[in-house]
Amino acid sequence: MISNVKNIFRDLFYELVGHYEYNFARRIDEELKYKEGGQKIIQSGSVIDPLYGEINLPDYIRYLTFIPIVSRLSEIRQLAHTYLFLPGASHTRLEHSLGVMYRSKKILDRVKNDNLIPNITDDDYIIVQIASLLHDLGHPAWGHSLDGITGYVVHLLKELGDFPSFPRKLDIAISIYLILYNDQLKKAIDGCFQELKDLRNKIDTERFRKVIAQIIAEEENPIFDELDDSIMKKVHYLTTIIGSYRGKRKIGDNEYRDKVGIDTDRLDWIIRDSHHAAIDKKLDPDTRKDFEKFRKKNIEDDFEIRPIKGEFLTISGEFINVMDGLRETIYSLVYEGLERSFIDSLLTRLAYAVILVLDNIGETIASPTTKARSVMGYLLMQDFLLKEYTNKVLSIAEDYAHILIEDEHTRNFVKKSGNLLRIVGYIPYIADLLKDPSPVTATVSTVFGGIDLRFERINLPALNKAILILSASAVADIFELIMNFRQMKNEDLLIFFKNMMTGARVDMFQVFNIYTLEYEMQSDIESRINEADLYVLLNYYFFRKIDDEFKNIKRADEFYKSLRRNLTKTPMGFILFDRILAESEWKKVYDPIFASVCNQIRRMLGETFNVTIQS
Amino acid sequence: MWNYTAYMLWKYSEIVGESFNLRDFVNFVFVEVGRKQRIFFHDGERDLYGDLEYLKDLGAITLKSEGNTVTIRVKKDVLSRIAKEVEEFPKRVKSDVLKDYINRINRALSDLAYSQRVLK
Repeated sequence: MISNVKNIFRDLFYELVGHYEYNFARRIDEELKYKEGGQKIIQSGSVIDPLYGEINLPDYIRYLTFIPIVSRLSEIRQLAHTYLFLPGASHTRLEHSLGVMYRSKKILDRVKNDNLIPNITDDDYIIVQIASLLHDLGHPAWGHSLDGITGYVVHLLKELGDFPSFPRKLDIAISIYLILYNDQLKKAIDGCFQELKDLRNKIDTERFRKVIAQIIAEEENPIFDELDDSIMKKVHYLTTIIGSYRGKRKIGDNEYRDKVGIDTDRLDWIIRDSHHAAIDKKLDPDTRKDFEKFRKKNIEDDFEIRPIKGEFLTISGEFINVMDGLRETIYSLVYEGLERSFIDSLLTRLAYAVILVLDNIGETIASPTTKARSVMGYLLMQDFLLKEYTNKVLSIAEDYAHILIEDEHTRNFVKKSGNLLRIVGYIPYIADLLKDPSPVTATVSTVFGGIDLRFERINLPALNKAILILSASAVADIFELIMNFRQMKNEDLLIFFKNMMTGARVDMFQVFNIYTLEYEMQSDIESRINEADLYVLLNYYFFRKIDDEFKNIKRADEFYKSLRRNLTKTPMGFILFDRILAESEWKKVYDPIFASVCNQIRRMLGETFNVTIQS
Repeated sequence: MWNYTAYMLWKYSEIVGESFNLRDFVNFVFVEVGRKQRIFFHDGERDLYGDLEYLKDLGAITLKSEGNTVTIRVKKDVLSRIAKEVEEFPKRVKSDVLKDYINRINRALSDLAYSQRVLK
């Protein structure tokens, strides 16, 4: 029996390896010819873009768009599941990538004509267009919804030994992996390398690929030994056309910016996503007018470009301030909110559980290289296939995880995750109800004493489910309670919070010990109400947002304040119950839920700050 | 990631002394840790400077400029406590990824300590 089950897991693992190998890693030289007998077979062409009209595609770009690993972007939605509540938002990553390519080329024309950077060559045009087209190559299906598994995936890629850097974004980690290890893409980029003129005599194909990877990574310092200062100068100015570098810099007499870069990626998505999601319909009349003005200026490149030290480029002046303001507005309408947080938290858990299964299978039967291919086979699928395979993996794990995973809490977490798939199809209904959750104020008992907490909850009668929302303000209250319990110095509090937020951003499930957290909550709740399974869904964007805000937080009270004020629509997570709860039952679940959260924070504090608990 | 910057500052100071040149530390962060150990905690030097300013405000270091040279001086009582907590945290939360961060920094520090001994 055990041997049969192991075979099932092995077959599943290798099915995913096969999916990756066949679809995205097979050599296609014989199927698709770019050149034959020195003559180009694939010619340049054009496409019609909804924002910019006709976009010319050089022959090498057209060739790249035909390669399966690149053309898969035409089957990945730019805004993942946003279309479920903003139906127009179903445009693809490829549409955006072509838009970025078009904008980058136009900017480079201007930089050259205005002589903002010296010695721009035809090779620079080739590099910037390829890097623009490929900048989102590593986006998995479900897009940014899966950002919460970044740390785990990077950790798996690190097992390859020579994987450079620790990217903090999932798509960048996967892009670097593909550029360095994917034969189909490597061969295609090598084909483009033949288009270079001057640079072809100075660098080889491997260094060319690393230049592209370095630009996509948006790292200012070289992540590859082979990239010397002269190449990095080129990389810097080309990167600041497509993206940006962080770090405060003086860009004018009295003008400073936290990021430098023209960022054609952002110039494109801010108007493209708004266009498809029809966001202007949700704006108030004044903001809508401002947005329309901004959109026109954006498309016409009607803004000031400044070179910095002849090596970096950035946008300056009023345009950037208007864009920053509008970005906030659009971000909150399209990318934030309880609905989005819930969907992302749910999908992140599902994908994490699948990768945990693949990691455990791979650990016993495959090399790190094969394991990485299996994980890529899973992540690089189209949206609908990812759902299908998630179902397949978790259905098997539901029955047989005990053979694969020793730790009881982890095993339960994986087994239960399969049940969550059943609600994915009903996300629009859940999103609708999440627009208007019921506010609750409850007195909760914890080991640190009683506390009044404000949070929200909803029952989902049509699905017979219920959700408790772990609001940021309730989390702030809990932190404050625990930290006041034991007097700690300001810097000790800050480093604890910073470690927790940075750690969760990198490795959310481990840092919050979600397996034990869920197990404890479930055990405690079982003794109070009958038959209500629960699921903990952590929200990666909560940790990312507060971690980003940390540069402005110098005191613990500012941390609490920031949680309460700036994360009103970004909860730390959700507790999903598999049935609706009556009022009397809701009251019975508050204590165990928040007591478990307190216990987890206590475990994180450990002995360091000598936190003792009242008996 | 000012927490990891603090850890690197403290451990670095244990090898080179409590006062050192900013450029040398930048080289340690981006070359010895970044390129050689394949881990970058900052998008670039400016991002690192932001962390140093933050740690200065927390009272963990001082920064002194003389001409083009900037000297970092660590404040032992504050910085050592922060560094210890950064080192201990991954053990308490059992995160392999975070342990790997510390291990890679420590490997770069071992190389640095070895080269210092050879130079002496």
